[in-house]
Amino acid sequence: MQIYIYQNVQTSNNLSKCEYMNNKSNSEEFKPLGELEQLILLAILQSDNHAYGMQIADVFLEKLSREISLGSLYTTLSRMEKKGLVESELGESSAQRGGRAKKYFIVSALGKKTLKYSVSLIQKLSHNLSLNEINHMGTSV
Amino acid sequence: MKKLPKHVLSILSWSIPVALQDPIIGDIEEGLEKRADHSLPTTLIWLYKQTFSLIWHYMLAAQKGTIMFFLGLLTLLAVIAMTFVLGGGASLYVDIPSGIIVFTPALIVGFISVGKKQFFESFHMILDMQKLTNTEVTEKDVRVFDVMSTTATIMGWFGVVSGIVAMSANIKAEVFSTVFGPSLAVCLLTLLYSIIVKAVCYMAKQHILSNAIHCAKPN
Repeated sequence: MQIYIYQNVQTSNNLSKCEYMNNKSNSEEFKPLGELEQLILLAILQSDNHAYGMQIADVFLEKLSREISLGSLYTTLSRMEKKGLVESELGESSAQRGGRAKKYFIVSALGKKTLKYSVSLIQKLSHNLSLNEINHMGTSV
Repeated sequence: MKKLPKHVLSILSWSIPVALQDPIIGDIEEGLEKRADHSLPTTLIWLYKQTFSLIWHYMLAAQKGTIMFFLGLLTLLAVIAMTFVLGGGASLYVDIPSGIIVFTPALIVGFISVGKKQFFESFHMILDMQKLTNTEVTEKDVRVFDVMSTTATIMGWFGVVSGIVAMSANIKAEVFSTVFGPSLAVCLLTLLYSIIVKAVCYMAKQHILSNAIHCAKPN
């Protein structure tokens, strides 16, 4: 007979999965974020948690040297908005934008917790691993 | 390049949902402004990359009804073409005078009966699903298809009857067996074309009505 023991593993951010589950309003199964979702949430937080599409794309370009298309950016933002991870509000328009309004995105409380948990998973797995040594690891088949 | 080219603006307005048009197109305008000091080819590559990405991500969501209509139309035309080929070759079914008898009056009567503005508005509704979902569809929006379909049917029968009258008036006993068959085939083509026009108009009308009903449903 197998016995499963659930351990309350503390992460480097002092947020355990149990804590996270308790914080959620209902006890639905937690789904970790995808890579692009994590990066977009971090980019919004880098802009004082108030950023619009082009601003997020600029953060990607400046900090990651990665050009993100507006199509994938906005579809990911819409998906995260449906999940309740981000909130949005219409902002001001400017002549530079042809008089069109901006749509600002804000990471919600749930988004922050989910991001924290998701990042902690990576930190847990990469703990004690030297990134410089990755290339020399387990090359034999 | 500082301004968004008109054709790109039209494509984006067609393929992006209305609620996201202002933020996304505004972002592209801002991106162009920021790239004002870049070379033209680099800016164009960036612009078309963003445009194709937006079309890829949003077109199906924004224009699903229109895409389905054209897929249905393509299927209908493919079946008709297959019937023509299996029925003895496509050339047998092509006759320009018969086409003029059916298509021209259908278009002209349709245009006159609803007026220029409504005529183009009705066709615009088929091409732009967003226009259809954001407008209250009334009977006058589909009237043009009823008029065109009825006119085509009348002209189809007119072609058949006038063809038979012309054949009967010129029929001679010595050439009857060789002339009657091909002449009757040609005079029946107007009826065939009218049926095709009726089928396409029926599809267009149902596309507009079914999407209007779908939009009226509460979420």
